[in-house]
Amino acid sequence: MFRPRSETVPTVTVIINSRPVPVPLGSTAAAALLAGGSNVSGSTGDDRPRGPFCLMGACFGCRVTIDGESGRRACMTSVQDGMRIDFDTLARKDLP
Amino acid sequence: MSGPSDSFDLIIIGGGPAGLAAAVESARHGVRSLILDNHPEPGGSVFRDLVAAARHRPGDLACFSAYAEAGLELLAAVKRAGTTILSGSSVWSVEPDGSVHASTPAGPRTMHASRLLIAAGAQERPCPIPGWTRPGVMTAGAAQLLMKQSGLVPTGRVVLAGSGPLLTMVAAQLAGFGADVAAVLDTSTIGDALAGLPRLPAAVSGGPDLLSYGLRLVHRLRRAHIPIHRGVKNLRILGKGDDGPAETIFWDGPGGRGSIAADLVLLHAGLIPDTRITRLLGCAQEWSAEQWSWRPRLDGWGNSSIETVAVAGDGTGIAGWRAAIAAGRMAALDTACRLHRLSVAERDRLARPLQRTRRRAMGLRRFLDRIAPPGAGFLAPPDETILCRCEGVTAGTVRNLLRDGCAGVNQIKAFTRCGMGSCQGRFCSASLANLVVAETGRTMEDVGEMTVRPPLEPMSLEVLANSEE
Ligand SMILES: Cc1cc2nc3c(=O)[nH]c(=O)nc-3n(C[C@H](O)[C@H](O)[C@H](O)COP(=O)(O)OP(=O)(O)OC[C@H]3O[C@@H](n4cnc5c(N)ncnc54)[C@H](O)[C@@H]3O)c2cc1C
Repeated sequence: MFRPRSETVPTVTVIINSRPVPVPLGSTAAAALLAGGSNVSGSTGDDRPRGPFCLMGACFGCRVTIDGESGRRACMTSVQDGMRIDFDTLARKDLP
Repeated sequence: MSGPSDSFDLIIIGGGPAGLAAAVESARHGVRSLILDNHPEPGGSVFRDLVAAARHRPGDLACFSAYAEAGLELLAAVKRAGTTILSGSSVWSVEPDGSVHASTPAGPRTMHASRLLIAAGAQERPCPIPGWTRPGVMTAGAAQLLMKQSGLVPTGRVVLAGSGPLLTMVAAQLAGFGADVAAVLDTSTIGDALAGLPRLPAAVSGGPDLLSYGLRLVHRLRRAHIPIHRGVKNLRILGKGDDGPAETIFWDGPGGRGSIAADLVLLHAGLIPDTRITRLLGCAQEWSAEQWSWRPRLDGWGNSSIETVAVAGDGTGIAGWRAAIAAGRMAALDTACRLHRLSVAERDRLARPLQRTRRRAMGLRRFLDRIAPPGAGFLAPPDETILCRCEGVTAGTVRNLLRDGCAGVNQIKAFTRCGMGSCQGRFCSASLANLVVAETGRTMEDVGEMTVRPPLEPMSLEVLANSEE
């Protein structure tokens, strides 16, 4: 999917669906998903697979569960060491 | 609950070039301002990740040389000015009396200011084509962000499709970062390029450095033997099954049918102003056929039709970061003048060079707008194309409704749920209006846009409940 351009950049480790993934410091959780090999991170109202698309907080394609909180836009969340990211395939049910 | 700490002279919504520059200028004249921005880091769409890149991957900055220095300098200037920036804070409602409701990392907050500056920027124009919802299809801006923010490069074959300067720029930046860019499919035609010629002189004097930067990028693509197909039409993306990952992109071009395998397709057809806040406020809007988008109607200082509200930056029409900085400063000067911190003569004197900057930026922009209009295929996609990514509403469904006499965009929204999903129309509102115009021959002014309602940004029920108090 995506790989770091250089091997020497400082990284943090996030846990994506129980799997540890190193990601460059300063990344968002959406970058972590793509670096971890996932371009499908959820589904929509019509139950089709969706992935990160715009990365600027507009499309909601990257909504996942972050540290237990569902429905969060991965592209609007900076990674922290040890952050847990879980795919939220039931995104729609969580809407107010 | 709101105390004196929640009261400001000026609240700036958006921490991009326009908002940051407005804060710096405000501070110079003793105007107390606050910036709210919904991303974790300030800087907006173009300057956001520069600080992180400079710290962790200084070598990468060279790829963004056109603006890295200006961006870092502006971010440092805001710091020196001491303006509070509430990052990670989404404004979900705004009222004409100067009240701003936001969900901040510290919880819900309502603030108040004598004046508001909306500097919410732009977004990439939605590019509805068959298959654009498949995983492995993203916007060109998204790929650029991954490079800038994290130094990430796509692993497989990349194809870029659409139009606009950003398309070429991202293709060249990706190639420079070592990505396998297989092709650029450009919907703009030789005719578009020729039509732009009369505007070339103004572009050359308006932004000679940016223009030559652009030419260098095209040259770099040529040298890397990356094919650029111009005048392509009928783009469609096929992949695994009905909605699995993208595999191949097809097109019709002057040279016949074409197709190419792609692991990642990046779409782009220019930028459109984010007018949601000004529409929510009820600021008068006008249609720009040049940029094929709506914008708030403003005076030369950025004042909207509502007394308390000014607007600056790409949210007022796409003109780039230099113009955004100048516009942000002009709005701040006028605010200082209205709050009696600056005389009219002083305001006018300080504004003169800024006006010049904006005029020059527009010289370049008007050329770019003309040579790279959004592709016709994005404006009237075939029936099977999904218009509304959230609710899966197709162009065919909308055409059927139009045939049955359903005319208004809000009516179509109610019938189909188009625009009622979590993105609240940000990736379908413009496409729906385009389709209605294409099908009915009505004018854009007549068709209008979907009504904007709060909350502008999603929020938990808890925040809503607290804000009622
Ligand atoms: C994806 C993308 C890529 C681009 N790439 C380039 C490039 O490579 N080179 C170039 O010269 N120009 C580029 N541009 C254009 C450039 O970003 C703009 O010209 C410039 O940033 C305009 O500045 P601005 O301050 O008007 O808006 P922006 O920089 O977009 O800043 C607006 C800010 O407001 C925030 N905001 C919006 N609504 C809310 C809300 N409700 N609550 C809180 N905050 C909110 C946004 O998140 C954003 O941070 C790009 C634009 C986009 C969208």
